[in-house]
Amino acid sequence: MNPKRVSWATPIALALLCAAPFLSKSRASEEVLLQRLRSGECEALPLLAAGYPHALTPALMEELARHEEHRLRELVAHQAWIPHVKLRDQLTRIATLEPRELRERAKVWAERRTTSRETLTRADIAAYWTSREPR
Amino acid sequence: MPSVRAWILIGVSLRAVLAILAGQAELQSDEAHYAWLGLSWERFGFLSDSQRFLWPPAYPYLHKLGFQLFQDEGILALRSLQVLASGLTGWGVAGLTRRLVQPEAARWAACLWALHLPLAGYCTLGWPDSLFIALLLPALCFLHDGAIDDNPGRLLLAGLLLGLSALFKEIGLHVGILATCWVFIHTMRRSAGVGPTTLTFALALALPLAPWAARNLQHYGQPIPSGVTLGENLYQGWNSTDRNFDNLPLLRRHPQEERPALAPAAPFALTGEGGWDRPGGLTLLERDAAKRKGALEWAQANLGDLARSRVAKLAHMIAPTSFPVRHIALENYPGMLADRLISRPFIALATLQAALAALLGAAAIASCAPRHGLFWLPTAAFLAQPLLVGMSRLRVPLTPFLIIAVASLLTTSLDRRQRRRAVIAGAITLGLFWVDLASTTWVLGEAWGAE
Repeated sequence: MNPKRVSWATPIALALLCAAPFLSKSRASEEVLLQRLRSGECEALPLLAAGYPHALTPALMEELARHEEHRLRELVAHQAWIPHVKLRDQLTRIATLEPRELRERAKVWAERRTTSRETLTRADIAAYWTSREPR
Repeated sequence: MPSVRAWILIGVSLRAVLAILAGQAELQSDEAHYAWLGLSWERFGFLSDSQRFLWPPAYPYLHKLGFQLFQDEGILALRSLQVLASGLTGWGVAGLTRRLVQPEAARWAACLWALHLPLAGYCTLGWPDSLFIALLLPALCFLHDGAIDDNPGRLLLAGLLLGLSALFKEIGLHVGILATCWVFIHTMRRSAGVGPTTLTFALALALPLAPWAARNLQHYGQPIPSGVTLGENLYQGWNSTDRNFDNLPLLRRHPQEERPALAPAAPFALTGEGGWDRPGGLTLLERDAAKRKGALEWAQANLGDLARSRVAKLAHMIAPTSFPVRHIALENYPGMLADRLISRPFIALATLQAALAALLGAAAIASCAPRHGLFWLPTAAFLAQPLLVGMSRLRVPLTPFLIIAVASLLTTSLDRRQRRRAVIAGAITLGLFWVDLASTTWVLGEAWGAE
């Protein structure tokens, strides 16, 4: 490329592209996030954990543990609930999850969490994958 | 001597052979954490922080993609990608050497890169370092050419690659910021004003980071461009206990009372008293801030310990062992690499190469390394890592620069003053080996004796 032909168009275009992701991101309210979570949108969980940690309660966990969508039930075992919900409460809730395959998968999330010394193994991944319902 | 292209082919082939010999290795420490993050991202549709830190998203994303495309073989697919991408590292090492030293040195650099077993071994492991350097080295080549020719196309490519590298490892962001300063200074030295070409690089660097920063602004209220790891690293590194991740998982396999004492040499060892516990906090950022505060308070009260332990951390980083050797010691490789007929020559050669790279690299850096910002800025950034923590894995991004320096040493005749500087640097490196001797020999012994 000829240096003399360099214009401001490229940096301006890049600056606009850099700014674009920020324009569409605003923080949703606690109510909206809870509604999104209950309607099956798992992505609302980390937003609640970061923005409204008090919203993550054992009661909400119990509600999700009985959700008709299995993915939401499994989400009960995610580490994003900690420390807002006590680990002991989470493990108790996981023990009640149904069906059994889902409970076993949930145990993988909880027992092999990234802060645990007992980390994820290849056997865990293989077992986890074979118990997954078809998508 | 074979051409640069031939060496790159040899290097990639060697890494492929190593990956085959390694088999599907068991996941260790952070490897398992990355896999957990990728698997949960695949399942639940979001990347979570790890409670103690937030890693940049690219490597967990590749795990997620691997699981989506190849199910439980996703990790194997990612290792294969690392082997293929290593060709870019080889090309980058040779290319940067050709640009900063001379064409003859490029062949040496390609040869040293191709045969360097510790670096090759990382392609069999689940850390982002291999892919990070596969982006960084080519980025620096394009940055060099773009800055010399005032070529916006190359600067754009360099910025994008550097930005991508910062999505793999946080230190990529620091190198990117240093590179941006270098571009600005370089432009001003040429008596050219800061114009669209220079800004093109800076904005191209920011572009891959922007969606992630915007996402983090929504999640955490701060536009975190890469990761949040400082607090946890300070907790591990600015504390009263010396943690060396080259021996820690191995030590944990032994009962407490049977663990050998592997502290650094006496003047640099810590007492283990007056340390601080990992603080709590409701959110990731609160926990991170609390850890930074704890570290600063500890440092103010223990300045001597802080200084002495930096020497130990540097010694941990340049100790001639590596995570592939640690994996052999941990018996994590199910393949033929665990067979003593293969593992022992591997351990011996990898140790020798790591020691020579550190010794000759230090000598070369002190005597005849290229006097160029694009060599010194990343080298300084990677050498500064022990200011936080120390382990041999931190040497992965530094090794290509050691190789470039050694290639320069092999093709330069030193004058008396340079020779003296090289000898002093070599002696200091030997001293650092001595600081970590107890740990290094124990880890090597465990690997040598592994079944």
